[in-house]
Amino acid sequence: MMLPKPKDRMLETDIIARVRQLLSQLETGDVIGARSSISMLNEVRENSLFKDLGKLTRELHETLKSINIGSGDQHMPSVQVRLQAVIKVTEDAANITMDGIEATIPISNALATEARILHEKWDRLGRHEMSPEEFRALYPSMLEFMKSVEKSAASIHDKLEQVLVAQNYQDLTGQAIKKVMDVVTDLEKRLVHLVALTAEAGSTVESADGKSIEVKAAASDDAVLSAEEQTKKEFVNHVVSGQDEVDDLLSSLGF
Amino acid sequence: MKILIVDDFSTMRRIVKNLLRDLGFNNTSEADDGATALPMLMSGNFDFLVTDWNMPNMKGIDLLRAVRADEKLKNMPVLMVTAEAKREQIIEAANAGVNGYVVKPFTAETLKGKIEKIFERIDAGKQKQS
Repeated sequence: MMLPKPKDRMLETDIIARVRQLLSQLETGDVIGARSSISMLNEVRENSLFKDLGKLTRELHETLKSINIGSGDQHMPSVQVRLQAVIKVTEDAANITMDGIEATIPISNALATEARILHEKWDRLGRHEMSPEEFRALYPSMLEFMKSVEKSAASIHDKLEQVLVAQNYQDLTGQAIKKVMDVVTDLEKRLVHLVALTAEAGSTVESADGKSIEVKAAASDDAVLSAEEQTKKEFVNHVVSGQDEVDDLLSSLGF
Repeated sequence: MKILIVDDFSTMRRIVKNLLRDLGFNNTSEADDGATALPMLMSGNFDFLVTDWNMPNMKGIDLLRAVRADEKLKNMPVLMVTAEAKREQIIEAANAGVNGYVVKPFTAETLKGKIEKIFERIDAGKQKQS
């Protein structure tokens, strides 16, 4: 439980003074004075309620802003934009990977078929079942096959390399997700603070059926969490788009 | 040729390692942070450093500066491979003495090309000396 701050002390003293005044007015039969004291006491309550509500509203606003901060700004995308980007990046990576696989399987199959055909011929050669014409045709067939293997291997290598590089999605999405986690953690802190503020609101509220619900003691005047925590420093920087721009920029600097 | 690959994401280190192997560089080591990389460089006889920018304990730019500030390491070629594409950062890296800067996502071609270019310049430099 927090110690009452100077302003709260003043509030308490104020109320105590008015209550004493009300008491003496009632005891001396000063009805008009008593009425005025009661209405002033009411005002005190309403003012502090009003302040609490104002503070709560401001906190809520800042919290909502922190979820959506920089929405529309390309340098500080909102949580929704970041997560949407994660979906897109993983989808693209999956497709590139499958493209690589779909391109490689037929190459591999064709190679297997060619090898099988040549293998049969080679076996027949071994069993002396080959005619001279066929034997003469064997040399170019072999040559064709060797070229084919070289070409296929090169092609498969390229496709596999594309698939390899496509795995970069994990790094890119990982970084985006870390940023979202930061936002969520911050949001959690703000909500906890909001709940604390709400619990501290000092008033007695009458419910519909006339029972009074008492919420805890005097409101505090804690400083509100600065929204600048969700930093805007990146707003200033300009972002290059692509390796070409990076190269241009470095050349212009003499690199 | 001994190369150190530094990135806090192991998948990225693996991609770079494979691409390097394709270029014929089989002798590679890995670190997951500038902070763990620096002692490795100090004691390790590395010839080339490939590093990310954003890392939890010591960022790539700070690692680069530490390398350039060290008597033994100052001439080591350094390639930055990073998702950071802001002009200010590229300029900062250039001023800190980076030899190449590749932005993610990159193609195999781009990365290999930049590495080869760096080594060409090193060789040209050596030839001039001899």
